[in-house]
Formats: sequence, C-alpha cells, structure tokens
Amino acid sequence: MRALLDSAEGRAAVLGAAPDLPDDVGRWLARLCLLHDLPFNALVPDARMLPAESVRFFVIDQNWLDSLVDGALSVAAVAAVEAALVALHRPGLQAAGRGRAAASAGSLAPPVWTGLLLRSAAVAGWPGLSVIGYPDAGPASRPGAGPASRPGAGPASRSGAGPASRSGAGPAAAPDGAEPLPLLRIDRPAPSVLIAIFDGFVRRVEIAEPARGLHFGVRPSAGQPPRVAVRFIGGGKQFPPGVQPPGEPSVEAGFRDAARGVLDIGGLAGRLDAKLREVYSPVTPPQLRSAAFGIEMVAAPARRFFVAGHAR
Amino acid sequence: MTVSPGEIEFSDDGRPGLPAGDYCLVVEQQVELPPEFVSPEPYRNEQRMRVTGPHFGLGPQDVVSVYPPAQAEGDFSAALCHVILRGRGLPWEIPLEPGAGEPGDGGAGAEPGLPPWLAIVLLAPGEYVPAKADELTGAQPVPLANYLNPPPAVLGPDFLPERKNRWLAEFPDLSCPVVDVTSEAFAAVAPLAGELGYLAHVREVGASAGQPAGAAGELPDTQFAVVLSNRLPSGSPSGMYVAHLVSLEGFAGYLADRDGLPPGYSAVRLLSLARWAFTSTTGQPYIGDLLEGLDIGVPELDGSGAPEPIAKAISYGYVPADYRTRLGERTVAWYRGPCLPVQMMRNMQPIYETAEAALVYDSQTGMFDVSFAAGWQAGRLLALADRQFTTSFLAWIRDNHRLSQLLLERIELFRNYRLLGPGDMLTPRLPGRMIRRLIAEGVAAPLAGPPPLLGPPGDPSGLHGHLHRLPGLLSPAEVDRLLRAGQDPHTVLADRIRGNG
Repeated sequence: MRALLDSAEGRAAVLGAAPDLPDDVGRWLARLCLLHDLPFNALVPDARMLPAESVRFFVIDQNWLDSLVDGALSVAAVAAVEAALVALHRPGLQAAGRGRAAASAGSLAPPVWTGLLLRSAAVAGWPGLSVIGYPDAGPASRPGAGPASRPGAGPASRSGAGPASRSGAGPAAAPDGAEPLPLLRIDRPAPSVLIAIFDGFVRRVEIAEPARGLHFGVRPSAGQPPRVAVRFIGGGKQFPPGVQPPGEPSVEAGFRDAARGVLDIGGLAGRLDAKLREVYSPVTPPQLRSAAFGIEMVAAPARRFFVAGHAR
Repeated sequence: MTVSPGEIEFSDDGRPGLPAGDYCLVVEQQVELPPEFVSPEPYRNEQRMRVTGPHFGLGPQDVVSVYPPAQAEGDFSAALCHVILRGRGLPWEIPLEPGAGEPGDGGAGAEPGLPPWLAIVLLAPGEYVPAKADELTGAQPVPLANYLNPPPAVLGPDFLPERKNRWLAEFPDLSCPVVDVTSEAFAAVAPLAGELGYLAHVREVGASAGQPAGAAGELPDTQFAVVLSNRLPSGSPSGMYVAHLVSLEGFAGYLADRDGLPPGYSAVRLLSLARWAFTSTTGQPYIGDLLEGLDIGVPELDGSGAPEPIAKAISYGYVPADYRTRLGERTVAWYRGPCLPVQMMRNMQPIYETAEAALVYDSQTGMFDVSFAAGWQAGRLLALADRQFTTSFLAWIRDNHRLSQLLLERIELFRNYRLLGPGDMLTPRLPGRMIRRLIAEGVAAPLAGPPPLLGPPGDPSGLHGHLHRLPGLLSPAEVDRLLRAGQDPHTVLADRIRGNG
C-alpha cells in the first residue's frame, strides 16, 4: 500500500476511486474554519488586545486554519494507512473547509478572509446590531487605512519551511456606493463581544442599530441637551424629503419643562424653520407644517461608519 | 395620488369635508320674470343637520398601534410617544376652536395648521389621581354626566349647558373612561394650543403586493393619522409612565397659552380615549454615543518601550504566553491566534501529524512559536468533542481504505500482464482468461515463490524435489511458466502424455 501511495499514478488512482465527502463532514469543516466553538482565548489571547469599547480589525491567518483542520483530521489517522489516506485527501479537505469544491483545491487563489471584533456595551444592549462591510474605504478615508503591510520576514523561521513572508493591503481609494462584502459569520462569542468575518478585504464597515419601524424622537447625547436632526422637506429635486443635508445640521430640542421633559414644540418648529432656510438658501423652503414637522422628528437608527485600520 | 410601495407620504392634515357640528343647509332660488310680471319672493328651503363625531369614544379598530408598545420596558428616554389611528381624518373631525387653523398666506415660516382635538398626555405616577378601577393607567369609567359635570374641585370640559343637556339626553347610559390629572401637571404637560397643529399628521403608506387584503376583499388600509406626544419620558422616579390619548374638546380655553386653568381646582378631568403604560429605563447610554466612542485598531498589544525584536513580534500580533513543555520546563513562547493585525501569505505545509510537528523554534532567540501547534490541538479537541463528525469522517476514511485495498489487489494481480492499465483496474468485467490467470496466479505463485513462513509443506512421498523428472507431472516452475505464457497446463500435459509435447 505504501508503494501504491508513493507513486503519482497510484495516488491519482486512489483519489479517483474515492467516494464523495459526506455533506456533514464538509459542513463541519467549514464551520471550524469560521472559528465557531473555539475557546475565546484562542482568538484573543490577551484581554488587552480587545479592551472595552473598542473595535479591532483583523485578517484571518489561513496557515492557522490549516493547522486547525489538520488537527481535526488527525482523529481519523488511527493507523499508518489511514494517516496516509488523510494526507492524500488533505488538499481537498482543506478546500472544503473554506467552502470550495475539492476539485478546485489547488487552482484558485487562497481566500482572503478579514473581519472585526467589537467589544462594547452596545453589543449586549442591542442584540441584532447590523454590520455591513465594504471593500473600499469610502471618500473620507483616513491615512494608513487597512491592517498595515510590513515587508520582511517574521520573527521566527520555521525549520525546513522557509520564512513566512507577508503581503500587505492594497491602497484604499474607491468610489462610494460599493457593493458590500459577503458576510461569512456574525456572532456573539461572549455577551458583549461581536465577531464578524467577511469574504474579502474589508476596509470600511457600517455598524447600525437594528432597524425598526418609523418612530419619532430626538437624538440625545451624553451630557448635552438633545438635538433634532434637520432633513429636507421637499420643494425641489435637490431637496429630497427625509434626506439629511450634507454636514448633518441639527437644532437644539428645547424644553418648556426640562424636569418633566416637556418639549417646547413651538420654539422647536421655529428653530427648524430657521435652519431650513439656512440650508435651502437661496431657495425658500416650503412652509413647515405638521407633515414637515413629522418628517423632522423621525428618529433614525444610529449608525456609524468605521474605516479599518489604526486610529492613531 | 397613489404612493408607491416602500414610500411613505406625510400630509399635514386630513381635513374632513364637514367637521362635527350643527349645520343648516339653505337653498334659495330666485325666479326672475319679465318686467311686466311681479317676481315672486325667492323660494327657500332649510334643512338642519348635525354631523356627529366620535366625541366620547373611539371604535375598537380605530387605534392601530402605539409606541412605545404597551407594557414595554426599555430606554425610551429619547422617543416621542405616538398613536397611529385608522382613517386619515379622525384627529380633525371635531373642530377644537372655531375658525382655528385656517391656512395663512402660505410660505410664511412655520405654521401649525389645523389643530386636532386629540392629544397625547404623558403622565408619571403622581401627576394623576390614582384610580382603583385601573391601577396601571389611572383611568376610571364614569357615567357621561360625571364627565360633563364633575364633582367640585375637579375641572371638566367647558361646553354650553344646552349642549351638555343634549348629549346627556342622547347618550343617557354612556360610560366613558376618564383620568383626573393634577392641575399642576396639566399646566405643565398639556400641549399649548399653538402647538397642537404640529402634533398630528397623516401618513400614507404605499401598499406593497405582499400585504393581505382586509375583510371582504377590501384593499388594505394605507392612510393613517398619527398623533405625537410633546413630552419625552423623563421625570418619573420609578421609570413608569402612562400615556393617555385624550379629547381636548372643551379644554381649548384652559390650555397654557390661552386663558390657563382657573384657580380653585385641584384636578382636571380628561376623557381618555386610549391609554397604555410602559417603563423607560434610563441610565443606559445612547447607542449612538457608544458607537461614536469606540476605539478603532488592530488586535495587538502595546509594544512600545520593548526592545526591538520583541516590539516587532508584538506588532505582528504575537503575544508572549506561559508555555510548559512536555518535559515539564516552564518557559515563555509566542502565541498568535487566527486573528492577525497584518496579512500573511499562505504557505501550504505538508500535513502535521502531531501537534509538536507544528511547533516552530527560533534558534536565535530560543523561543518557540506555539501558534500552529495550539491551533492543531484545538482542531483535534473540537473534532473529538463532536462524535458525529468523528464517526462520519472515520467512516469515510475507512471507505477510502477499503476501496484502495481493492484497487491495490487488482493492481498487484494485473501488474505483470501489462494488458490493463491502473485506470482499468476497477472495471467490473474482466476477461475470462484473465480470471483463470488470476486463480492460477493465486495458486501457482505461492508454489513457485519462497517458502511460506511456517516452513515448506510436508513431503511424505519424497518426490517434491524430483517432480521435473516425472513425465506425467509438471513441476511448479513449469506450471508457472505456462500460466504466464497464457497456456493451459492441462492441455500441455495431455499433449505430453500423448507424446506430442
């Protein structure tokens, strides 16, 4: 048997004769490669790498996934023959773990999976946060976007395997309105930690409150009086109703009785009208009546765009 | 004007054709005759009619939804309560003040518009008189007379006595839910008359194809009236709030920007057309602030201040970890999980058969890199923990083994004949002569080959070594040679005996 598996045509024959991989094995390997069920400190070995109220962008190490899959495959290597067969099927099994057909194991470029870890009270308090990743950094990209690319070899070279080389992220400059990346996994391994893995190199992420129906309210902020965001109320093609003007202007809400939270509606309407005149000028905005007031008071879900990379 | 699906159209008000009230319809016709005749007086007919509105109660279907949802608990400190009502004209069916809210000349700044007769009054416990009938919301059902003419020190609606009597005669047995709001709370919380017009609008939703039809095949409702509250939930020590949709008909004069409340009343009795309670928990930070305050970065420790090789390793995502080797030594090793701050190229290594095979040792620094070894171990442990995966995968490998074994046997058997290639080895039909050869091979080869492990077979006749000299027998080597040449030993033997050999 060893001679058979040593020769190239013997290997080809054995591979050709192999039965199809059962679906549940393929699915299990794919789940494993998306880091499900791994103990959390295998992902984040030191708590200081993911402090409270932080988001960390990462690239998945495909070599680490290879070791992970090898370890899982070792359960079937009960004797020399089985071990040899496992080694023979390994490329196909590794490909199955990445969700690819075995036949294309060697031909496609290795997948690039990136993602983010978010640790925040927002994850615990708002289950169902939506995370959308984009491959481009958007128009307002900060310098140094993307996990950094550093030339040179790693700190330790593997015996007999050659140095591990790196390739860096490409430049981030792409037009807005890009297609979002496929989301491979979004999960909460701990109550206040969220992990999201994308198929592709994510450079910009939008994290938003779970979508709800149309509700009304003000936008609070810590330590400051609440404000109301100003929106267009129609009156021309360049003023689509409900859309926020550039710069996101807002006006103070204003109270008639601050302790009870009673709003000064008349004053608020006046302030909104003044701000609309400012935003619409030189065109005169339509009259602010109850419908327009309703549009201004619509409470939009909170969302924020993050550009991947170092904040400093 | 129809609204397309997915769009919402806001309108200022659903001004009804005829608001509630008494009307007199007068028709006059003037007939003009030629001058030589006397024109009669104009013919005149009068018709009195009354348009009634839902003065004292709403229908069961009229309230479509409320927000915050009844009995909800959450952080609503930035939300304005609202009620969605069926029928676009409901908040304007009853005129609040005569002549109020006629549209101005248009385009002149913010203007409230037609005021609704409904308003949402949001109350905290302590701002209304508790009621035994409904402890949660403070509403109690009273006969209509007790609403129109409440007990002393409680202020009721201001209607002309004839109107009150007419209603009492029309609805003698009507019982309406009321809530007694303290005067102080009413003055502080009730909307100003000038604000009412902003607090109600009409929403038309584009019906999408997926919406179910109403009863009897009607089109689904798409037009709704929305009434907003003017108060954010704040000021209740327990976080509990009650919202009442009240009728302000008859109270317009008592609102804070009109005449205000007359002195001497401790409570104001309002007719509660709908009510619900919720709890707003404050102290939870607003999610927008939380998202704004997030620190962005990549998962790595802070390596500043460390010597250069360590700082470099840390910048690649490595973390120093305690490592107890198999021999019991305790040392420090580098560990890095699958989440890297930098992108690495993939080196397809040959398969690691043990965790230790995946250890990386840097002889320069004397440090191990246990990342891949730990990953290998994690994978193995996860596989062992999942019995179904293990049995499934093991069964598949054993299937592979069985088929490979079969393949091997056939390849070995056919190896010498070179008539079939390895790819044909598993064809189900084999030529008959090949089968015979297989059988012969199975028999002849052990005879011609080296002695078996247990020693040569016994030879009681003593002839084994001399078989080649016996004419009627073929030696094993001859049989082997004949078989390999594709000839049948029996026919050869027969020929030899006949002397043709």
